[in-house]
Amino acid sequence: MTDALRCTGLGHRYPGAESDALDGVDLVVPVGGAAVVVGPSGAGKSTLLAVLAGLTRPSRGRVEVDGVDLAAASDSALRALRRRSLAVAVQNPFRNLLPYGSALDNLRLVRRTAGVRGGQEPARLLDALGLGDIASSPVHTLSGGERQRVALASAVSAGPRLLLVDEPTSQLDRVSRDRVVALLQRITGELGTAVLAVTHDPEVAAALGGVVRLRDGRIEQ
Amino acid sequence: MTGSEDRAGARWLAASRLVLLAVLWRRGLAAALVVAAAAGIAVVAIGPIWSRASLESNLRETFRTVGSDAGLRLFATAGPDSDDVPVGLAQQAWDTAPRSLPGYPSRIRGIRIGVHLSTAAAPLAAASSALVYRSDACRRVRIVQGRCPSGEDEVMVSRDVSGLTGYGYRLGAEVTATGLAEQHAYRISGVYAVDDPSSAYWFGLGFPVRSTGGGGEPLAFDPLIGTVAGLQRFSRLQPASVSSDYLLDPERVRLADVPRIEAAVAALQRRYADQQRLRVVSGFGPVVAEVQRRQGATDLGGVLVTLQLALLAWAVLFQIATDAAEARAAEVALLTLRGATRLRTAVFTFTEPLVLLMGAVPLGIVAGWSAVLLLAPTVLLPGTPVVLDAAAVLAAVAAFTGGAAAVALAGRRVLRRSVLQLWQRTERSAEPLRPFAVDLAVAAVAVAAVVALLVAGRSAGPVLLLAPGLLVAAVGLLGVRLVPGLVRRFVPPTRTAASVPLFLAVRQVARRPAGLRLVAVLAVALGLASFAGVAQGAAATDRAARAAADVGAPRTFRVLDSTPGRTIAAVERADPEGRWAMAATTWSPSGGTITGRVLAVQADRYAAVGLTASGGPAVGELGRRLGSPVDAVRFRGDRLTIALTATTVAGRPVVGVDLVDATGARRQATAGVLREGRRTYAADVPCARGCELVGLAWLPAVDRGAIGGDVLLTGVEVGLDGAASPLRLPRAAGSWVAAPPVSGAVDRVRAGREGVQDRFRSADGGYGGVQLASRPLPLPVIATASAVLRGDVDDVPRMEDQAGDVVPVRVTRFAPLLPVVLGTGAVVDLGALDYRLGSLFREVEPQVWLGSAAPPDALQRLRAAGLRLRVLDSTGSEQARLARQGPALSLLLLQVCGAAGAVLAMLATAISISSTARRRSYEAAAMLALGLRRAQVGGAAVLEQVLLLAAAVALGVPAGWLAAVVTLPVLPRFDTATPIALITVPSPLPALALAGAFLLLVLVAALVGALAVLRSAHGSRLREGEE
Ligand SMILES: Nc1ncnc2c1ncn2[C@@H]1O[C@H](COP(=O)(O)OP(=O)(O)OP(=O)(O)O)[C@@H](O)[C@H]1O
Ligand SMILES: [Mg+2]
Repeated sequence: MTDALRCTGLGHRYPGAESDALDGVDLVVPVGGAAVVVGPSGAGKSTLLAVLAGLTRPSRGRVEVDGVDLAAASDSALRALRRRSLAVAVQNPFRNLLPYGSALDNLRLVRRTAGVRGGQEPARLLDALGLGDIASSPVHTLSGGERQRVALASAVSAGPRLLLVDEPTSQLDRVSRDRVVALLQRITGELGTAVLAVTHDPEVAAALGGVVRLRDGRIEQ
Repeated sequence: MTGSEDRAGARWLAASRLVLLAVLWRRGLAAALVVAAAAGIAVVAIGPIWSRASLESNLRETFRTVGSDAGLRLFATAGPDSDDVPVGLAQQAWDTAPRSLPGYPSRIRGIRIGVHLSTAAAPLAAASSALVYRSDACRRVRIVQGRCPSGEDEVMVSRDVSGLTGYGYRLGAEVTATGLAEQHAYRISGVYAVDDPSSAYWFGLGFPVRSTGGGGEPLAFDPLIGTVAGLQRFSRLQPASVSSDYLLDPERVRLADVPRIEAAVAALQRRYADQQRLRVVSGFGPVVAEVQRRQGATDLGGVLVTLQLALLAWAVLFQIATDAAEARAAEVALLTLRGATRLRTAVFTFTEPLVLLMGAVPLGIVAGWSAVLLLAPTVLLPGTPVVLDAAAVLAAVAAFTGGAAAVALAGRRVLRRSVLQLWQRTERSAEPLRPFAVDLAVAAVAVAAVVALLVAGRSAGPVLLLAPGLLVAAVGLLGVRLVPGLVRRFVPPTRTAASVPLFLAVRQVARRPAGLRLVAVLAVALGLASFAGVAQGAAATDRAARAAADVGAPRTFRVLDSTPGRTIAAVERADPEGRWAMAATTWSPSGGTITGRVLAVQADRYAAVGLTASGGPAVGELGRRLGSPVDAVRFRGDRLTIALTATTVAGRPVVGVDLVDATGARRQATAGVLREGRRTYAADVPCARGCELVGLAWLPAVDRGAIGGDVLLTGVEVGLDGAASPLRLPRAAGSWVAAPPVSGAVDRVRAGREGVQDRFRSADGGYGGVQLASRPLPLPVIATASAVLRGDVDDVPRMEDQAGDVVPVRVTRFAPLLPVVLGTGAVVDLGALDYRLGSLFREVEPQVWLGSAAPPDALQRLRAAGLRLRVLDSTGSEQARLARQGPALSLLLLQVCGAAGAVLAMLATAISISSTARRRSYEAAAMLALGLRRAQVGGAAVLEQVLLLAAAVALGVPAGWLAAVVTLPVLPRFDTATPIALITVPSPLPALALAGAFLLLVLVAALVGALAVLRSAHGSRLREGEE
């Protein structure tokens, strides 16, 4: 069985930049596993996530998600991969959700997009993730923490193999942060979705386990 | 219902729910999109709705004016050579004809028998006339004496015929009518007058006839009107024309009825096509075809106008659609991130704006319809229906397609971007404004159109109406490219504290292509609006000028049952000071060297009442040149005593006094035989109600022998009820002239301090005398060059009437153009003309003109003075008529749409400002954080918008005015040609007013926008914005 994510010798330099934003990154996330990338500001975490999500083409190296080589994948193959296996939750929660829809609307949209028929119904999934109370409220009326959890729920509602998360707790208070961490733990544990999270927060990293340190675009051993 | 259908339904429901939520979420932008699309659709839909309404109005107006030309006539005929049939066939011919037809609710049965008339009083003066029967005639004429004929031996005669002295056509008299082979006697039971001879009822019967023969001998009379039985007294074989006439009812015919009426007329024509005896003639088809032909030109103008505005609306819609697409960028990114296929992303992107566009279709149609509904009563005939037809809906659908294209183009840009690009908030300043080639192409086409327009001149087709729009577009597009450079030149190189807002504003103007795009759209919109305003202003002035020239005075009236002399006298009574009323008439001389039409006016009242024809002499000058060197001498009295000193007298001349009485009639009184020495001569005069002294005549005695003498007139006294007072007589040189000589009289007249001297002599019953120069002879006229025939050198210029009476004239001025008669004709003093041609009253119908100073009770006063008036025309109604012509309607449409376009562009500006307000608030927050004061940041935001919008005004408004200046010399204003001088250099006032109003709006909008930016510029924006 292939790993959920495997990248080797990943390097990236933004056009016109003096130095590499990523340099020789090797990373493996097994199916159903979890990994956390931590590092100081400017370390290259967001860049790494963009490359892994197929949003930025890396200058060198190879990324394989669910056995598919991103560099070789056509646009439609990449889209198919995102429908089936690759979910991304970016830092700004509004970029993960339709602000005017409810949690249910958002989950349904993702499932319809992925063409998923069976599996867990959105309402039950939200219930299971402890979001049943706010399932019908428009997303823009939710609190930051609720919004973040709905974003994660919506990202995994079509049952992907891998979830990439950028700064899931950056603007949250302690209680909300704990809830988000708990949700991520259930996503790996109960849904069997592998998670790669990027964060500043060492506590979050500790809770999820599998910590990788990034500094100046390089993985610190 | 199966499960899969159920699921499909649920999915559809969920998708519609999301669309609805999205629309509500972005309600501002959604509303803007709907408004812009609805406005564009309205502009396009207005075309066909307006076209139909104006066609409807034109059709009705044409039917009203052509009268019987749009009627239907079914007449009996004897064959190809003769339309006369035996009168005995009348009943049979009427019986076979229908009583009514679609559009023709009733019919008039008619018989006309050509006869010669004589009376017992004038048994030999046989006049040619006709004996006529027309059903309902008694209700269509005014019976001034007696009653309607009944029975077989009664007839009516016209008032003119009855009034002829010496012919005996009096009420109760017997008339003998001679036909082909028999004659019958009729008794005159009534005297009729026809107030409106051009009424459709008479069916162009050539009625009434006023022609009289040479030497005062009548040749042709108005017809006698009798009964059917009366006409059928003639034997069956008497030739007659027999008809069934059907009158179109213009008030009840709608455009939709036209095919039905045409079909009915065609069916009738087919029915009688193979019959020898009955023929159908109708002008309905040709009249409708002519109206439609003229409408074609109007429609083309309308299409071109709406095309320009539709393009502008499209540009605005595109701008808004782009903003709307940008607002959905994050959602498009989300769908891509979740792996939606390209198709699905596209569907997701376009559903919302397309739904909004569809919603805009009915709104646009209703808006267009309402606009026409509001506009129609102001220019079209009252009561014109405004109908929504398939063409309007089709146009709206076409506009929808155009809108969908705008949405697709705007959306495509978003769809093509990558997820990361979609997330990027600031647009690239490197994004090109527009290919320069596009601007150059527009400019080249604009120049070509203007050159073509100037070369083609007035024959330019309506296609060249595109020239102003192209010119404005070229100036707008090219001008915008200069804006950043020009704006930069104003920036002080150093950033002093005071200039910081300006510096920031200028930097923004130079950097943002979106702002400049907006300036281009706004400049074009303002340019079109100001062109339309300027052109409409000029056209309205031209319409007023043309109406003034065509009508001659603010209001004109026909005077019934009167003569020029009586009308003048009545006007003098109603308006003694000559401030607001004037008698007038138009007349066509039957011979002489002056051709065309002659307008006769009261020279002394013309300046106060008449209007100047643009391009012709001013009213004041007209009055002066037609008038006389001295004022008329008027008095009231019953006796005149004349003091004369005669040094020599030959023969036995009698002193005569020439007068014009209060009814305008010429009178002559005698004051005894002239003798040598200083003496007084008294005459009884019929002047208790007032008279004008015309002059003195030395009349030959009964023996008609030669007379002569040398006489000095030293004074005249007026006696009234026994009291006497001296009459003031002018004594200046030239204030007295020789009276028109009769049979070779010679007068040498000289006026001076001691009196008026006349040395006269004549033989064989001829005579002369002295006259006040208040009735100058030859008659002064002002004529257009084409109205004066040039014959031999010694050919005396003169005018002749039908009776053969001649009046010599002197052209005091040639004018290129004159009121009422326009390019070919002459103007003359009415009183003088009537005095010289006594028979004039039988040839003309007098008029009364009212000036702008007429009091509210002017008509009552004129009626109290004894005039029966009917409205003839007014400059107001003439202007309204001209405003309903095709070119005027196109211009109006342009103005309305241009205003709508400017408002629309304004809306786009507001949307663009508000949709960038959020982005600006990040920048503003950054500047605040850098230590700039709020006032500076706010000032910069205000200045930026003011700079952009002011640039739009500075480009658009002069461009519109320039377009007007270039195109006005050839821009069609009327359907028909006019010789009056049209405006070529328009007033810039409408454009300046537009610019002022717009700048005011700009300032308000800028202030509001700046406040909005500042209010949302908190520090928290910085972190959000950094991403
Ligand atoms: N679009 C870009 N163009 C050029 N350089 C970039 C771009 N985005 C990031 N960089 C540079 O790449 C490096 C890594 O940036 P990145 O955003 O990945 O860091 P990060 O670890 O996510 O930091 P943070 O914790 O602040 O989010 C930085 O030096 C940054 O300046
Ligand atoms: Mg980051």
